[in-house]
Amino acid sequence: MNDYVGGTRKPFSGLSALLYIDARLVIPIIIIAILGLVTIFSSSSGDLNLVIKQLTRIIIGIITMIFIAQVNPDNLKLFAPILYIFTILLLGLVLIFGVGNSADRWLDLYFIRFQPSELMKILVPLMLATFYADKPLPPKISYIFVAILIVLVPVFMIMRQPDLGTALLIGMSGAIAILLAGMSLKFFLGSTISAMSLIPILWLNMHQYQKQRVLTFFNPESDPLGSGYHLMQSKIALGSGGFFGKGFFNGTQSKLGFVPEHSTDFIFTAFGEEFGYLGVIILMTLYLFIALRGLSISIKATDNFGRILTGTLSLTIFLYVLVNVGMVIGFLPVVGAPLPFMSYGGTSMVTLFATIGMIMSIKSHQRILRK
Amino acid sequence: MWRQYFILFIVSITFLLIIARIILLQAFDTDCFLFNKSDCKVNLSHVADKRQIDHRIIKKYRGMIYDRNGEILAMSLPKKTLCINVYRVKQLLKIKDVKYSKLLKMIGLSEKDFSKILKKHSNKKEYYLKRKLDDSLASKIMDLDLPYIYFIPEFSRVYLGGSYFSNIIGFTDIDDNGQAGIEYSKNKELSPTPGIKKVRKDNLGRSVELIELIKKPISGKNIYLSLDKRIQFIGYDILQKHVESSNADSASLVLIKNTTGEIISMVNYPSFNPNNRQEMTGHKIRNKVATYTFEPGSTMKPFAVYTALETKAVDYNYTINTSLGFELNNKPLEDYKDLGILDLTGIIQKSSNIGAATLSKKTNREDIYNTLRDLDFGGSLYIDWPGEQNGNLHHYNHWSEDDHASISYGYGISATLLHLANAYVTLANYGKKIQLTYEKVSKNEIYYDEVLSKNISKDIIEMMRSVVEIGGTGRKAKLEKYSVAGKTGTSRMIDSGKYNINKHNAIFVGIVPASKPEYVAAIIVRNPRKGNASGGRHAAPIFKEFMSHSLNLLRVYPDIK
Repeated sequence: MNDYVGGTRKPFSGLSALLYIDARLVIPIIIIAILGLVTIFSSSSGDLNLVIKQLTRIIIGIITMIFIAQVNPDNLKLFAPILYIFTILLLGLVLIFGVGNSADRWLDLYFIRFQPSELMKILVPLMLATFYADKPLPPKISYIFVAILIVLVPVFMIMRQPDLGTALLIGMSGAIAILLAGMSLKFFLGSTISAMSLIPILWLNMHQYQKQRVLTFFNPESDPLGSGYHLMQSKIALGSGGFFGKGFFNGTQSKLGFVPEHSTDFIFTAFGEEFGYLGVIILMTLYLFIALRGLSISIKATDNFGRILTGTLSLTIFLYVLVNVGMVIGFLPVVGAPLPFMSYGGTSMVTLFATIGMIMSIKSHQRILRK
Repeated sequence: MWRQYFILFIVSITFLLIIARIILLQAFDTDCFLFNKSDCKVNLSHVADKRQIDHRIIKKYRGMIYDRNGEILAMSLPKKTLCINVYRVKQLLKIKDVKYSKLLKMIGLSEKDFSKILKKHSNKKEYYLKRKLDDSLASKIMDLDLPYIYFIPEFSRVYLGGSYFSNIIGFTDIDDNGQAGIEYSKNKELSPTPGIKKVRKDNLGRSVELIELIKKPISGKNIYLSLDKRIQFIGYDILQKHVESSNADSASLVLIKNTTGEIISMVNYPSFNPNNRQEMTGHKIRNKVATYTFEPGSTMKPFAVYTALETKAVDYNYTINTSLGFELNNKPLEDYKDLGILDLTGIIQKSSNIGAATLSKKTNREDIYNTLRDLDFGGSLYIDWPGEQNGNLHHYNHWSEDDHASISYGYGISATLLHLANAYVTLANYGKKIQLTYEKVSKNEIYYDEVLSKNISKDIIEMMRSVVEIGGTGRKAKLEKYSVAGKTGTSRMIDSGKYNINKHNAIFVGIVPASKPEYVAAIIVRNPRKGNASGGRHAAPIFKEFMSHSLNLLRVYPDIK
């Protein structure tokens, strides 16, 4: 089971095979990235500088992806604990020397992505997959507790930063990994109930503005100029887009600044206003396709490590999509999460392409083994 | 396997819910769902329009004011007014720290005052932070790119006539409404009619796109004055010189083209700088030609002679021995010296009070009253001037015996300089009264009203020519190239209800050329302090200096070779 031989590559025909690239995964991503560029160009009223910056990030992301796709999963496994512990230490440093107040974070959201919390988005699934790799499945309860600890330590550290959005996303991706690795139904129910009982503790640990966001999510009209205002504007923009959209460059609600962060967190709104319901459905289908392709790779994976890692990563990406879209349509609280492959921003783009690189690495190296 | 299905189930449910929500928002254009029926929004595209579309007022130029030769006296320049949405700024400052200090420095507002404004006007969507900024400063402020700060176009008034015209043209307030002078009296014509436009605005309230012009703005009408900038400048400089040299309180003059009734020049010294708001208070801003009343004194004598002749109370050969004296109020009335035996011309030339009083006594009260009434004394001149005064002419029933006498030499009656000039204009037109105006008139708009006898008027003018000749009181008003018919006047000023024996108004009124009248000028110097105040000493020289400069410019043909 664990004895596949790395490094014994055979020559394949075709460039994608040569570079260990999975075309069915990459093509929808490239389309989404291009849609992102188009939307950024439009909602910034034709600012080519932004587009060029974003394009540069996409290219850096693709290079990173290709690089990681070459890495043998064994090496990934080898470096996972070291990287994980190193990043935990970095998070500790951020807590001690951390700067910036809540207001700054809300506007200049993409600045804080240069912090270690972004790295944790990949490292937590990788660390969990590594942890489960040589354990018999379904795991013993003690293993599950260790796994939960692996997730909760960074989650709490990031929450203290405070960056609730990222913390929740990492927590959820950790939960997916643990769930995929397996547990008994009894344990699952028990832990779910105890997690629910943790909510009041979480609430008490939240900052005032974070509480405010959650509260306004339940009653947007109560704070029409705060985050509720953003939500209202976002919903109005989407609604006014209608079925076919207002057309490229005509998204007035976004372009005139009514919709906040129209190039980053609320890019879905800007896209939906201009391209309408039709555009949104096409976009969502593309994301669905990426997730299904990732899951199909996961199912075909030949070992625990590969199966847990690819499954977690592809579900996590889809989760990001759901959280972001749910946020801008007023379904989930505004937590500050970018839309994968579309939102303007460097670290998130590179991190996501790295994630895809890992999935490809698992997929291509496994295929060699099966031959 | 249940775990995979569980995850798949959760993910698909979320996905489907999100898709359903998007369908609701986009395809059905509504935010309403089962649980938020009470405060949801339907018809979202309409809501979007409501937030983006606004009706804005378009401002236009206030009309320009020109002099009779097309020289600009007042005009409007485009400026930018800095507006702030106080309501939004306050909301913003609650969640975010935005620095307005750079802006405040630029417009010279302290942080303290700024926070006071935010407090006081916390619900205002549009507050004028600084009015009428120059374009260069406005673009610098725009570069700061601060939220909820924007500009609206306005106009600011510039006065090219300076102090020479300031108490005539007047001024506007910050909202471009006329407050004084012609700016006030002609405010309706000068004011533009604002238009309305439908615009798309951005989140900060700046209009970014014109959707529709609902009402076209109309700029204010331009006004052409009858005044002549050149003559005004000459008059002002001469008044200034004489007020300073005689240490007088103030002086005014008015020059009227008697054939059309147009006021060519109307000057008051001292005046104020119309481009400095600090100076816009006090008596300097008044056009005293039309708003200051005084007892006209001896300048009324020609009318006393006229009425006496017209009613045949006396004939042309009448003479009087002024040495015999005249008793008024049980006191003897005195001339400034014993003038001996005078004929009618002599009474005017030497300005004899005794002569005028005697004539007046011989004339019926009602006739005197009617003549003065016909000449508009005590009544409106209908020139549409803010604060114009009518002066006083009591009904003859209320006249005492003394009033009957003193009205002939200009006491017991009060008038403005414009009233006095108006009466002389009628005389200069040989009895035909004409409407005075400060606006340029075309020839076919002129109407006359015959109020005085043509021949007697001519004779009076003839008599008045002697005033500037040797032996007359107005010798200093004699012009080299033009014949002058004039009259001097000196009257005591009234200080808190009593005549002040040390304060006088020195007056001179003249008609030029006397042979064929074209212009009438009236001059008053208030309280000259150098030498014994008199019209001949203080006002007549101004007439001479002013007219010899002006008549040439006005292309009046000299009638003396």
